[in-house]
Amino acid sequence: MNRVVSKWLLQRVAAVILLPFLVWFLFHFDNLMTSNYSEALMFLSNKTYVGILSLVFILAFFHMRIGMGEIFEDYIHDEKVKKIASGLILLISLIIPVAAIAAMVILGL
Amino acid sequence: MKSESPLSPHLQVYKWQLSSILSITHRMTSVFNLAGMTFFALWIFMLFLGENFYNLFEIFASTVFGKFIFVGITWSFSYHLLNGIRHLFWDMGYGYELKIANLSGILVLLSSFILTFLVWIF
Repeated sequence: MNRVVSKWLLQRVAAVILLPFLVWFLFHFDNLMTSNYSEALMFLSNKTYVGILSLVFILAFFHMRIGMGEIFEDYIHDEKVKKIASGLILLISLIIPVAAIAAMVILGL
Repeated sequence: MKSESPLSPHLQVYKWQLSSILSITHRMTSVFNLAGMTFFALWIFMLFLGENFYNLFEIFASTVFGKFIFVGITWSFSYHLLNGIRHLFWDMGYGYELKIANLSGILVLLSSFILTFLVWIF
């Protein structure tokens, strides 16, 4: 399969898997944003919740990296700038999920 | 090497219509969602840093601006998720007729507000 086609397909696959977990996330997001310290810690002490949130982070940032690449393809014309932007997005899409998951796992210990 | 791929229509010269507005909104919400996920990661880090740092978050959360951000993130995710389903149907080859595309667009827009409302009352 062509590289662009496989990227296109992978982005859709990530989106489809993400769908139910994102709905779950949204229905907890409002509670989390208004919960106090101990309530928030209590939520993250649940291993299933941490597992689902980790999956959301990984899939969302994977989906996002490909999507941002598409936007760069459409609107950035300078190949050098495009490379730098893509590199930055790759870095973000690795650092944020890894850091967030590590923090959740350590908090849950 | 210069790229040979065609350029997308520039937004400034594009005629405004429902389909284009919804399409641009899909891309705009993708960027908001990135900010939203990063914001959620920050929430985790504040929690990780301890109660004193989390208290700072609670102060932000109690402001009107904070609530606006929370609802805004919820709507952005809702819209992108629902319009994403619309995109998946297109990818499978359905829903291209102008009437259906407009109808599904209006449906997505309305549903995004309903989903945001449901998230915040439950």
